[in-house]
Amino acid sequence: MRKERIEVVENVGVSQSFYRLTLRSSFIADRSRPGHFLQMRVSESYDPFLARPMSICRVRRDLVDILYIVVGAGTRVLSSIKPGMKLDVWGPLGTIFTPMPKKKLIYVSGGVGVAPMIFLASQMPVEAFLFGVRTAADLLPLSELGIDKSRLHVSSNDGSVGEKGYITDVFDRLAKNMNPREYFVYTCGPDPMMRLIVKTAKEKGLSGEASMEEVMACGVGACLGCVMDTKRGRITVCHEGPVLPFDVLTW
Amino acid sequence: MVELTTKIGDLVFKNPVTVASGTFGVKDEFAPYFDYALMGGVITKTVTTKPREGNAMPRICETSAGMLNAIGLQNKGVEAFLKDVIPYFRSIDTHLIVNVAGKSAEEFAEAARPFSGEATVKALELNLSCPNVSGGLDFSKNALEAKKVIRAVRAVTTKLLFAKLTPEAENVVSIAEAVMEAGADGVSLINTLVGMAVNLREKRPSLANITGGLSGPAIKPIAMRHVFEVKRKLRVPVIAMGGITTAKDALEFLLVGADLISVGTANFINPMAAPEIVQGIREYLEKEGVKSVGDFRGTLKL
Repeated sequence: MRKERIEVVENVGVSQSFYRLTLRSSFIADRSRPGHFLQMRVSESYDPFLARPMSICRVRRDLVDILYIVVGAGTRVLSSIKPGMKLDVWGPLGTIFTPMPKKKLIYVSGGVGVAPMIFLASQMPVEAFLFGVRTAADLLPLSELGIDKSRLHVSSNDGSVGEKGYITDVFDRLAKNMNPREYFVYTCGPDPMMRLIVKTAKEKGLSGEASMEEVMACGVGACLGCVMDTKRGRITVCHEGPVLPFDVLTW
Repeated sequence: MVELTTKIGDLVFKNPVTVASGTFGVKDEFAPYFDYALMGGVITKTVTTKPREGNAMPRICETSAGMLNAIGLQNKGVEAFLKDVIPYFRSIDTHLIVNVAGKSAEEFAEAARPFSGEATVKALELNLSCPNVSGGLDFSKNALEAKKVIRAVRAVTTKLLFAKLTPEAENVVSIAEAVMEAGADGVSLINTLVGMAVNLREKRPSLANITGGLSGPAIKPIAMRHVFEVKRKLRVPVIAMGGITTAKDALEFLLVGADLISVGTANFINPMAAPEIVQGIREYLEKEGVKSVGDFRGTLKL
């Protein structure tokens, strides 16, 4: 593993809300698996101070894509970065999704949590890809998702795109007809969403993996700033996660 | 080649760069990034006699040029540390300094005792100043309490002892003087300052513990002042820490007289911070034509 100073190749808006940042690093590209994240300092100054954990969305040869929405100081600075500029980055970090090629795979994503789901779906079959957004502006075009339209289920809180409501309701409906021996669920999104997905999955006996989101400082398991209590005890989300099997979660 | 070796007591450090307690994981967290043997020493996360779960989440919060933390001394306890961490460092050519804490002088001694016979452990640092556990700060705000801890630990070990002090004592120099009198071999300056942040959107404190320890570049001037005053008035060995992020920061503390420096929060924003600082110090001294770090140390013009 190493820290690199990496060139930004592209940093463009890909929907009204989403940006895609492309970095050039064969070191990271060669080692990245779906679920991995990078620690990225968005500025050389001390403001913002901490690195930002960013899920890897896609790897293309020596290029690594990150997806983000501007939500705070870090992502605001990130959105102003021009191609050719360099960033301090270390990774890939954390645990990864387990490939389950023999199962029918359900992907449930919410908001920017869609990034690792896109990466995973680019390498595995897709039975259904669920994507919940707040509003139409948060949706990604099919070209960015890389998902067959017939497999895609979209919901929005305000009904401006897809079904009006929550993606958890879409999952509940689909889960009714899922045989636990045939299906496997991957999920990444806001905590409240994932809690409901995991709860439904457990009720139906469905196995799966979830990628946790947490504020982090180091990203390497050193600061103990991002711990969570699981059936394996108190673990660091950055190092012993972020991807965890449903049965380890106390949800 | 610039001579970087630094001697404290009988212990010779290959260079003056160490990593600060609580910022470098427990064992091998940074090993994927660089060889620990590049550093003069590693100061471990605080170890206590019994395992501690630490505080509730959220435990960290970004601030201007720094961060707040309230981890609460989460650790697996002395027994697990002896079994798991000590063997790991046995084959690594750097000085291991174990940081211990307790709720009383007796508990400090109990935590320190098992390390006194461990050849791998070169020194102990006593955390007299954790702001995130009840009573943690009291030991280094009060000279008598601080002395009691040092005497109790001194009685169970002949290892070098460093007392890690809070910058919040009324008179840090007098606390430093007290711990040296009681048998410490040096002081670590400074631990974090107590701070607080709130989340306006949620209308709650940003940390579950409400307050936390402020660290990072924001506190560097405060650390500088305390290192300067203790060195000038007492001339005792000092490990300097507080916002050291670059070789320039480290050199400034050496200029003021620090014997060793510790890279702390900077490890979180750059996993290569410590070896980069060693290299930066070497390059600077070479460029300046200074033969050894000893010739540079404490040459601040007043």
